[in-house]
Amino acid sequence: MKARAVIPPVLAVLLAAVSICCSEKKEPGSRAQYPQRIISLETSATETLCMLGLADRIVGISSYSAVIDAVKDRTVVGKGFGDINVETIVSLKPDLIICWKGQDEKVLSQRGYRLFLFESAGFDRVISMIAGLGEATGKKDEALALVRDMERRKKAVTDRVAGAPRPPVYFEDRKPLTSRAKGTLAHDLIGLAGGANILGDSPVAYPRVNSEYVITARPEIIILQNEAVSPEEIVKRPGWQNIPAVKNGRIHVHERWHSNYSPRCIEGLESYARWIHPELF
Amino acid sequence: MDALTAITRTRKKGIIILALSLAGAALAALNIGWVSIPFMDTVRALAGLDRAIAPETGIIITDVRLPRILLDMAVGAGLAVSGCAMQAIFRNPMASPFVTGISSGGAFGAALVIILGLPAALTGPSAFAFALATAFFVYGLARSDRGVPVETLLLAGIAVSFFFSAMVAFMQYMADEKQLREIILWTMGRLWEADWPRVALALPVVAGGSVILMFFSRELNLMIISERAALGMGVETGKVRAAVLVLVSLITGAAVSVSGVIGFVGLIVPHVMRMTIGPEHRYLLPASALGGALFLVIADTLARTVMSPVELPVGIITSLCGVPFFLFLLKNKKGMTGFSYGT
Amino acid sequence: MELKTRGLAFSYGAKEILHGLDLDFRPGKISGIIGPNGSGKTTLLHCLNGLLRARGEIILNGEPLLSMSRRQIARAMGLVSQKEEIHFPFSVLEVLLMGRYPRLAFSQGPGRDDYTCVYEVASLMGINHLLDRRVDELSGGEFQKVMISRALAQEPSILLLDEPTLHLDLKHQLEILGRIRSITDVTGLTVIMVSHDLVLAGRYCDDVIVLKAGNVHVSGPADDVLSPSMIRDVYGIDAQVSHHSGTSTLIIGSNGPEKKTNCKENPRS
Repeated sequence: MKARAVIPPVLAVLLAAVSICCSEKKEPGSRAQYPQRIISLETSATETLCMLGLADRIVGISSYSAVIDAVKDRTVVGKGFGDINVETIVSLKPDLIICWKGQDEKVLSQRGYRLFLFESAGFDRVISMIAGLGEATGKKDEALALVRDMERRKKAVTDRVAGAPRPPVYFEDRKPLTSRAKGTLAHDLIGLAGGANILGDSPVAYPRVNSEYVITARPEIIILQNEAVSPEEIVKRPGWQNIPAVKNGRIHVHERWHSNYSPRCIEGLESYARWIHPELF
Repeated sequence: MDALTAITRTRKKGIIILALSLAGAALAALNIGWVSIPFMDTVRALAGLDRAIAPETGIIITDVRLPRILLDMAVGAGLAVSGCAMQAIFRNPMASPFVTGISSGGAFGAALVIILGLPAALTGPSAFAFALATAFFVYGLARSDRGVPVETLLLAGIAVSFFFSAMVAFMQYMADEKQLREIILWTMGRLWEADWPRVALALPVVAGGSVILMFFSRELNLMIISERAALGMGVETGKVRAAVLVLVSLITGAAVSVSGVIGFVGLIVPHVMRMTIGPEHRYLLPASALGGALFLVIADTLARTVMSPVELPVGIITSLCGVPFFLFLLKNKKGMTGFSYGT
Repeated sequence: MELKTRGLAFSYGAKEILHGLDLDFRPGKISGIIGPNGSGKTTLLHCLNGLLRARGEIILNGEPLLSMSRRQIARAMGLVSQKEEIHFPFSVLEVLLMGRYPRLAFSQGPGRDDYTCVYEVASLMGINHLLDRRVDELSGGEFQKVMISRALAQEPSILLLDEPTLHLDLKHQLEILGRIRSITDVTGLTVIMVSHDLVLAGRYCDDVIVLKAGNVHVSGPADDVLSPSMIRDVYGIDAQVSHHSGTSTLIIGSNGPEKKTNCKENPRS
C-alpha cells in the first residue's frame, strides 16, 4: 500500500480531533457538567480555585502550588514549566487542565484535554482571567463577587492617591538587574498605587537594565521580588548608596502573592500604596 | 647588530596599534553610557578631581564604569592569552581555555554552593576551586608514563565537561526557583556585577599569570610547530605542558569566578591575532592579551549601550560582531591559522 | 665529540626493530646510514637523539645518553627530521633563533651572541637573503636549508640528518650536501645522515653503515662498503661502482626491463 494513501484518512481523523478540542475550548460553560477533576499547573490559578471553593476538585498541581495549604497533599505533576509528567496527568483523568500559555499547552491539547490558559498580563487582564476561570468551572457568580471586591479595593487606593505627586519607583524582578515594564502586573500595580515606574516605557516587558540608569533615575522607592534579590545586596552595589531609596531605607520586599494573577494581588496593590505614599495611609 | 627585520617591525607595530586602540577604547567606554558625561568631566573624575563635577557623575565614572571596564579588560585578556597558550601546547586550533573542563567544573562548584544553601560569598571561591580541580583531574586522567598525549587530554576534557554539565543540569532540576535562577546566572556572562572587589580578585591573577605565561613564549613557538621539533630542541614538553596548564587554569578560574562563562573570546581572539600579528609567541601572547581586552571592552560597551538603558547579554554581542569579522579574516587569509592536518 | 652504541636494541611493542647494534661514529666525519625501506634507519636516528628510548647503551662523550636531559642532548646534537613542516607564518630569522633555545636560560630572549651565531650559520648555508621571508612561503630546497641551519644554530657537535635531500632537485641536493661537507671539514662536526641515495652517500660520506632488517649488514669506509656485492646482497640489484677523483660513483643496473639504449641512472624511490 502506498504511504500516500494513508494520509487523507489520518488527516481527517486529526482534523476531527482538533475541531472537537477547539469547540470544547471555546464554549466551556455550555456543558451541562462542570469539571470535577482539575489539574492546575499555575500557582495563581490554584489560589483562585481555592478562593472559589473548588479545592476539593483539584486532583493535581505543579510543585510550586504546594505552598497553598488546602492543596499541598495533591499529586504533583511537574514544576509547571515544560517538564510535566504526562503519564501522571493521564492517570489522574482530568477534565480540565489550567496551564501557562505556550508552556505544555501543545502537548496537552494534542491529547485532547480541555485547557484553560493563563498568560502574562496586566491588572485588567488579570481581572478578566479570574472571571473566565469562574465561568469555566461553573462558579461564575462567586468569581464576579471576587472581581467586584477587587475593583472596590482598587478604587479605594486610586481615590486616595489621586492628585498626589508620583515618586519614581524601581522594581527589581531578578538578577541581573531585571525589572518590569508596561504590560506587566507589577508595572500596573506601581501606577495604580501612585508611583512612577522608572522603566515603564521600556521596549521589552522584562528589561535588563543598566546600573547607571537606576542611579541617575534616583528612585525614591525600590521594590524587590521576594527572595530573588536581598536588600543587603542592593545596598552594597557600587554607586547605589546615593539613591534616595537606599539612603532613606525605602527598600521593600514584595510578598509572593503580590505578583500572583489571583484576587490576592489586590493585597499587593495596597502594600505598594503604603510603601509609595506612607503619608496617605 | 640590529635585529629588526621587516617582519619583526610589522609585529611590533601591530602591538603598538593594539595598545593604543585599547587605551582609546577604554577611555571612550568610560565616557559612553546611559548618563552622558562631558569628556573633560570623565578625565577629572579619573584624576580624582571630582569636587569640580556633580557627585553622581564621579560615582558613575569611578564606581560603576571603571571597575566594569577593568573587569572587561582582565577577563578578555585572561581568556585570550589562555586560549593562545592552550592552542600552542595542544597544537590544536579548537583548544580554548575551557577545553579541560574548567568552565563546567566552575559552574558545578558554584551550583553546589547554591544548592547546599551555603553563604553566597563562597560561590566564587568554590567555582575557582572546582575549576582548578577539574583541570588537574583531566590532566591526571590523560597522563601516563609516556607523557600526556594531546588527543587523550582533549577527549578526557570533553568527557569530564559533559559529566559536570549533566551534574549541573541535575542540580538545576532539583533546585527551587530561586536556586535555579542563581545557577542559570552562573552559566551566563556576569560582567554587570562588576565592582572593585571583583576587579581586585581577577586583575592581579590575570596580569601575573599572563606575564609568567609570556616567559614560555619560546617553548610555545617550538611546541606549536611539532612535538618532535620541541623535543629535539631540548624543550621538556611534558613539564612545559603541565606548567602552562596550571597557569591557564588559574587565569581562567579567576576570570570565570568573577564573570561567569564568556565563550568565544578565548577561542577566536588568538586566531585573529595569529593571522594578523603572526605566530611568534613573544608578540602573539601580548597581542592576544591586548586583543582580548579590546574585544571585550568594545563588546561589553555595546552590550550596555545599544538598547540603553536596557542591557544585552554580552555573549550576544561577542558572537554577533565577532563571528562575521572572524569569518571574513578566515576567508581572506586562508590557511593563515597555520594548523595543518594529515602527515 | 664521540658517539657510540653498544647493544642498541629497540622494539615497537613486541616487534623488535633494531637487534643490538654496536656502532662507532668517527668525530669530524660524515657517516651515512643506508639500507632498504623498513631496515630501521629512521628508528636508529631517533634512538640516537633519545626521542625513542632504546635498550642497550648509547654513549655520548663517555656519558650515557639516556641519563641526559633534553636540553643537554640538544646542546650536543641537532636533528633535522624527515617530515618537518611549518605552516605558521614565522619569519626565517625567527625559526633560526628557535635553534638557540638550548643555549638560552629559561625566559631569556636571544641576545647579540645569538644573532651573531644565527647570521653566521645563515651565511654558511647560503640563506642570508631569506632571513626576512615567511618560512611557510619558501620552496622545498630553501626550507630544507633553513631546517639544517636551525639545527646548526644549536651549535651541536653532532648533526643528525634524516634524508636531507628527499624530494629536492639535483641542484639543491648537491648544494646542500656540498655545504654540509665543507662545514664538516672546517668545523669538525660529526654528521650522521640517513639516506636512500647510494650515489650521494658514495660522493659525500666518509663512512657508511648498511642496515638490513635491524642488523648492521656491513659498515666501514664508504669506498669499501659500497660494492656491487653489497648492493646485490642488500637490495637485490646488479650495479657497477667506478671511482672518479677519489670518490665512489655508482652505476646501477637493473634486473627488470628497461629502455634499450642506455642504462638508467639513479632510480630514486
